[in-house]
Amino acid sequence: MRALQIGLLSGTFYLWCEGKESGSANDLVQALEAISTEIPIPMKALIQKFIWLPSRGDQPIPSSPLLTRKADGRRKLKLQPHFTEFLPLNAEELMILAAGIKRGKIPGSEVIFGASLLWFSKMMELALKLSLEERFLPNLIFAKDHYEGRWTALFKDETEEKLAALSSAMPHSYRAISDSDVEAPDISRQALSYKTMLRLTDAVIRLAAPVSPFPWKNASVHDAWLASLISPDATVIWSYERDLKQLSEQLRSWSRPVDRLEKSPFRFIIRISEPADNSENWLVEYLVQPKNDLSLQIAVQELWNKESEAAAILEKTAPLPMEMILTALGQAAALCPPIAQSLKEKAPWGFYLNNIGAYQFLRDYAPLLKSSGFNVLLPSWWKTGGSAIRISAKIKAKSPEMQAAGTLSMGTLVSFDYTASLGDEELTLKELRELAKLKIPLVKRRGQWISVNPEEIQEMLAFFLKNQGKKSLSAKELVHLALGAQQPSAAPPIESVEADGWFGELVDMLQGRKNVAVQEQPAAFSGKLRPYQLEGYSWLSFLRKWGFGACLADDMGLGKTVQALALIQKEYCEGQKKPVLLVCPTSVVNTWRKEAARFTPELPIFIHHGADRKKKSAFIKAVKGKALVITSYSLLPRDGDFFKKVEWSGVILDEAQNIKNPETLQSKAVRTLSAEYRQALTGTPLENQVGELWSLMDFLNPGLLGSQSSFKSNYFKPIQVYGDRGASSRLRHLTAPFILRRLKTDKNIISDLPEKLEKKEYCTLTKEQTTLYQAVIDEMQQQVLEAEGIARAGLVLATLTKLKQVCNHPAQFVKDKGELKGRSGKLQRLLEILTELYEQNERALIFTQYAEMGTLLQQALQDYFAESVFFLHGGIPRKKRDEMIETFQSEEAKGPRHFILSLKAGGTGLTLTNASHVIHYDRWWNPAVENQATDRAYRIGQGKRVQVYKFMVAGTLEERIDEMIERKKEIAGQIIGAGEQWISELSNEDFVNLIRLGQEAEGS
Amino acid sequence: MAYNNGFFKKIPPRKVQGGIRAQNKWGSFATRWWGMRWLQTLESFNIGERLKRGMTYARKGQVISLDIQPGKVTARVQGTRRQPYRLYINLKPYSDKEWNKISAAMLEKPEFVAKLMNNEMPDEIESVFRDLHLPLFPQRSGDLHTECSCPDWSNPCKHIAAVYYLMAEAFDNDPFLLFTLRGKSQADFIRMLTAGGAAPQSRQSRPEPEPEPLPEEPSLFWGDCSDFDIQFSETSPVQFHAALPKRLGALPFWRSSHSFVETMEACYKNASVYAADQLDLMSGD
Repeated sequence: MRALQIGLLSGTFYLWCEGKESGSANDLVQALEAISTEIPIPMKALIQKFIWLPSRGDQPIPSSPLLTRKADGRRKLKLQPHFTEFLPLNAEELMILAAGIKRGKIPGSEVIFGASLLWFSKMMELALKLSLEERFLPNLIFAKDHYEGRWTALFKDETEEKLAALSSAMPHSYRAISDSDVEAPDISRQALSYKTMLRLTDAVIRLAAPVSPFPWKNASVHDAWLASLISPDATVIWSYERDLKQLSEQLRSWSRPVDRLEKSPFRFIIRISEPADNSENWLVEYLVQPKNDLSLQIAVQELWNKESEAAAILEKTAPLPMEMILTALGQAAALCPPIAQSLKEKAPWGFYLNNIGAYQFLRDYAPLLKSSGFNVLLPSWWKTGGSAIRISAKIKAKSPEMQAAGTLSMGTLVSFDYTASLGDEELTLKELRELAKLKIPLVKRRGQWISVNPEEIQEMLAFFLKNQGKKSLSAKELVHLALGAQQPSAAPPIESVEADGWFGELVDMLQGRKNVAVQEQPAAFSGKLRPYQLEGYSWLSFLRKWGFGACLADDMGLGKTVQALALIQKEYCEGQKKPVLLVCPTSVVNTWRKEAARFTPELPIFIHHGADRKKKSAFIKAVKGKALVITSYSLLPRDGDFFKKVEWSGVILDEAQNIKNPETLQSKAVRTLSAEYRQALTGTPLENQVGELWSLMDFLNPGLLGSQSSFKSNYFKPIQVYGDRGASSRLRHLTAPFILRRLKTDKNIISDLPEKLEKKEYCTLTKEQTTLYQAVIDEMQQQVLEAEGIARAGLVLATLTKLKQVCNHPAQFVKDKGELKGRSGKLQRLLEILTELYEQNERALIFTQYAEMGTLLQQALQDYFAESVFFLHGGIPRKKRDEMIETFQSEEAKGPRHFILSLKAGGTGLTLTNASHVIHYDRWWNPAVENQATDRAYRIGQGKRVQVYKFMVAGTLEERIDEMIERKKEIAGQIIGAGEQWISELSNEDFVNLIRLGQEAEGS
Repeated sequence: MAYNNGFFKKIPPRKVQGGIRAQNKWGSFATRWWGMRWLQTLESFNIGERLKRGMTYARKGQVISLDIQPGKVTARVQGTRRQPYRLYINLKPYSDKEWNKISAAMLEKPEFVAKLMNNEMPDEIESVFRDLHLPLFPQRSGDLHTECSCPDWSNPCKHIAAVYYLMAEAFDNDPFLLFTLRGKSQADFIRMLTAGGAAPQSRQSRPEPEPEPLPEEPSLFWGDCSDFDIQFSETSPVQFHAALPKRLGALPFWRSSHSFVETMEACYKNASVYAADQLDLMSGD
C-alpha cells in the first residue's frame, strides 16, 4: 500500500510518496504507474528536498494505518526532516492529477490518495470555479529578481468564505517541504492557501490561453507583458526596468476601482421595478446595502443629504460610501448609457424607462452589468436568458379506433391539432395575430407583466398559418412528446399533449396520473408474490403490452427476479412461443437457475454457459420451444452472431449497470438483439447517474433521449456542470414513466417484508479452484470408500474440510502467500456485492467459520477498497473488541464499512446494528448458530430490514448439503443434528454424489 | 554658447545609459488631450523654435531624472558637459482654500467625480477650473518660472524643452500629475471629494500572516479528509467575457500592436471554456 502526497514550496508543486521505503523514487514511480495517469515519470526529473514529518527516531509516523511500517513506540515523538524524492509538476500535470483524484481511488491499485492530495484537488476545483466565473485580473509582479506577468484571482463573498474554510483545513504535510534540514518550515496555512490559489488559477488560465497566431515581437513593454501572460513561462522579457516599474504602478491604479468596490463594507445595488400604475414608467434606482445587514436597502437618493435619517442609519456601520457609489456608477456608466446619462444630475439617484427601454435594460444591460460583477435586482417574474413566458404549441390528439384483440402498436398513427399557448393560457389564432402585431417584448396580460419574445411569437404565428388543420404522428412519437422529449429542430416546443380515449389514458398512466391496474399472479406461479411485487409485475406487464422498455430498479432484496419471472410465466401460459433472453453477470447465472426452478418450475429453461456450450445452429435448435434462456454478459459479445439470429419475445438485462458505458462490447452486443420488448433490472439508484442513464434508456426506449451528443448538450452538461434544475426536472419527467424503484424503507413496503431477507448466492469456481477440488476428490474419495467406522468418519470430515477450504479460496487450502485477487468465485461475488453497497454507503458484516479465511478476507478487502476493515475473532482482547464495536456503531459512521467476524466470536451478545447486510461466506449448517450471528445486525421491532446472503458454490457439496437440509426440514419439520455428523453416516454412494463436482460450478 | 558661425563645433551631448526615453517615435508626442493641451499651451507662448530643440534630447533619452511635485518639477539632464544639468520648472500651486473651492465645484458634477474615481480625466474638466478663475494649465509664459544650470541663456533652453516634452508624455500616462503640479495628489484630491470619508483604499496586499509552526502530533499533522469536504454552489456560465478588465477600461498609453481588449477577451473566454470542460471531466463523465 502506498500513499501519494503533495506539497507547495516556493511556487512549485511537488508530488511524493509514502510507501515501503518512504520517500524513495521507486515507490513514487510505482504508485504513479498503478493509478495509470498520463504523467510521464522520467527518473531524472525528480528533485531531492526534505519533508518534515512527526517521527520516532528516524522513522516517520505514517499518515494511515493502512501503510505498514510501525514506528518504534519507545523513541520520542519529534518533527524530523526526511530526505525525499519529489516530482515537480507543471500546470498540465496538475490538471491531470486533479481530475484523476476526483474520479476516486481505484479499487485494486493499492494506492491511496493522501489527505494533502485530496485537499489539493478541492483547491483545484475552487480555482476552476474562479476561472469559470472569470474572477481574475492580469497583473505584473516582482518575484525575487525579475518581473513576471501573473493572473491574480479575486475572491468575493462565497469564494472568500470557501477559501477561508479550506485554508484552515489544510493538511500540514502540504506545507512541510523544505530545502533545509535544520529548521522546520513555518509558513502559515492561510498564507500558503492564498499562494496556492493564485498559482492554480494562474496555471489554469495559462493552460487555456490562446496561442499567438503570428510570431510575437517584443516591440514594447506591453508586448512583453502580454506574452508573459499567455506563455508557459511567466517571465517578462524586457530590459528597461523603468518601463516595468511604471507598468506595474499603472496596473495597480488601473485595478483600484474594482478593489474599492470589493473591499467596501457596503454593497452597491441597481434595482428595476415595474410601473406601479398603468403608466410606462419603469423605475431604476441606485441602492446601498451594508454587507453585514442584508435586511437594509437604502436609496442612494437619500444619502446625498448627509443630515438625513437614512444617512444616519448607514453611518452606524461605516462612513458613508459616496466614493464607492461614484466609483461603481462610473464603471456602470461605461456599460449602460442610461446610467451615464443619470450622472449628469447633481445628486444621481437612478432614472425612468419606458416599456421598450425597460426591455432593453432587462435583456441587454442587466446581464452585462451582472457579468461585470454588479448586483442587479430584477422583478421576480423576469427569468434570465430572455423571455420568461414561452409561447408554445399544445397538441390535442384524438385516439384512433381500437382494433380487436388489443392489436394496438405504437406505430399506429394518431391525428391531432396544434393550439398555441402562452404559458398555460391558450390563445386563439386571432389573439396570436394581435400579439404578433404588438412587437413589444413586455406585455401586461390580466394585470400581470410578462415578457415575451416577439420573434418567437412571429415564428409561432408563421408556424400556425402553415400548419392549419389536422396532422398525424405515430403513437410512440406522440407519447415521447407528451413526456417532454425534444422535438427535432425547426418545430416549436410542445407544451403538452392532451388526448381523449385510450390514448389519453395511456399517457395518464405513463405520467402517473392514473394507476396501472394490479393483476393477479399467474396461476402456474409457485409461491406467493407480495403486494408490492404484484404491483411491480403488473407495471412490467403494462409497459410490455404497449411496447415500452421498462427498468425495474427496486432496492436489493425486494425480489426483482420473481417479478420478472412472473411476467415470463404469464406470457408462456398465454401461448407465447418465442423465448425470453436473460443476460446477467456470470456470478448469478446459477442463482437465476435456482430461482426459476423454485418459482416457475414449469418453464422450460436453457442455460448458455460453460466451455462446452452449444453454438450456432445447435444453439438455435436448442432454444426453440424454451421459455427462458439465460446467458452471461461476457458470453454475449462472443456469441452475438447467432444470438441475433433468434427472434426473442423479450430481452431482460439483470444488473443492467453492466451496459452503463455504451462503448463496451457487451453494450453494443445487447443492441443487436431483436426482441418485442426490453427490460432492465438494477439495484443502483439511477437518478444520480445522469451520464449512465442515456445508455440504459437508449437500449430500453431508443429515441426517447435523442442522440448521445444531443443528450450531452441538452441534459448532461446543463445538469452536471451547471446544475440546471430545469433540465434535471425535464429529464426526470421524461424517464420516470419507465423506471420503477421501491426502497426497503418505503412505508408501504416495509410491513410486507420479512425482517430478514435471505438470499442464497450460488457462486462458481475458478479454474484453479476446480483443479484443486478435483484433486481433493481424487486423493480422498477412495480412502473414504475403503475405510470403516471411526476412521471413516474421520476421513469424511477431513475431506469435507478440505473441499470447503477450496470453495472459499485456494490460499486457504494451499496456504500460500500469493495474490488473493481473481482466484476465488466466492471472493469475486463478495467484491461485487460490497462494491454495490459501497456506492450506497451501507455497512456489512461478513461471517466465516475459519480464522484463516477471516484474515485473508481482511487483507483482500483492505487492498481492494483501500480502507481499514475490522476482523473480530476469538484472539482479540475484550478492550479492543469493545473499541471496534463502538467505532463501527458510531453515529457519524466514520469507521470501517466492513466488519469480518469469526462465526464463533460473532455469536456472543454483540450489537452491530449499524450493518444492514450480513454475508455468510461459508456455512456452518447449523441454522441456530447462523441465525444468532445474523441477529447481531438485527433487532426486533427496529423497523429496519436486514439483507442476508448465504454463499454456496453450485455443483459442489455446499449446494447439495443445503438442498438435503432443506428437504429434510420440510419433511421432518425438524432440524438435523448440529454440525456435520450426519454426513459421515451417509452411504458410500450418497457420499460420492455429495462431493461430486458438477458442471454448474464452472465459471465462464 | 549657441554661436552659429562655425567657430564652435557642434558638440553632441554625452550619451546616457537608462535615461528616460521618450516613447513616441512617430507622430506627435502626446496622444491624449491633456498631454496635447500641455504642448499646445506651451506652443501658444511663442517659444515654438526653442521647443523643437528639446525634442531631440527627449528622444535620445538625455533626461536622467524627472520628478513632479506640488508646484515644482525637478529634473537632471545630460548635456555636453560631464556634470548633468539640474533644472527646475515652477508653476504656482493652489492653496488649500482654493482647492476646497475646486472640490466643491467638482462635487456639483457627479459625472466628473465618477470618472475621476475610475482613473479617467473627464473631457470637460477644464471648465470647472476655468469657471473658478483657477485655470488648470498655465495661461501665460510668465506663469512658468524656469531655472537650468546649463550655460545656454535661451529660455527655454533645450534641456527645459526636453523636460516639457517628457512632461506631456507623463501627463498622458497619468493625467492626475496635472493636479499634483497644481498642488494636490490624486489620492489627496479624492479624499477631499469624499469630504474626509474613507480614504481610497489602495490595493492592499493581504497582510502577511504570522508564521505557524508545524504540529508534532501525528493525527493533527496528517489531518482528516472530512474537514474539507466542502461543496461549491452551481456556477452559471458567463455571458459576457472579460467583463472585469473591460469595466476597468483601457490601460494608459498602450503601445502594443495587439489590442488589449481583444487579447483579454480571448484569454478570459478560453479560461472559462477550459474550466467548464475540466469541471465536466472531474464530475465523472
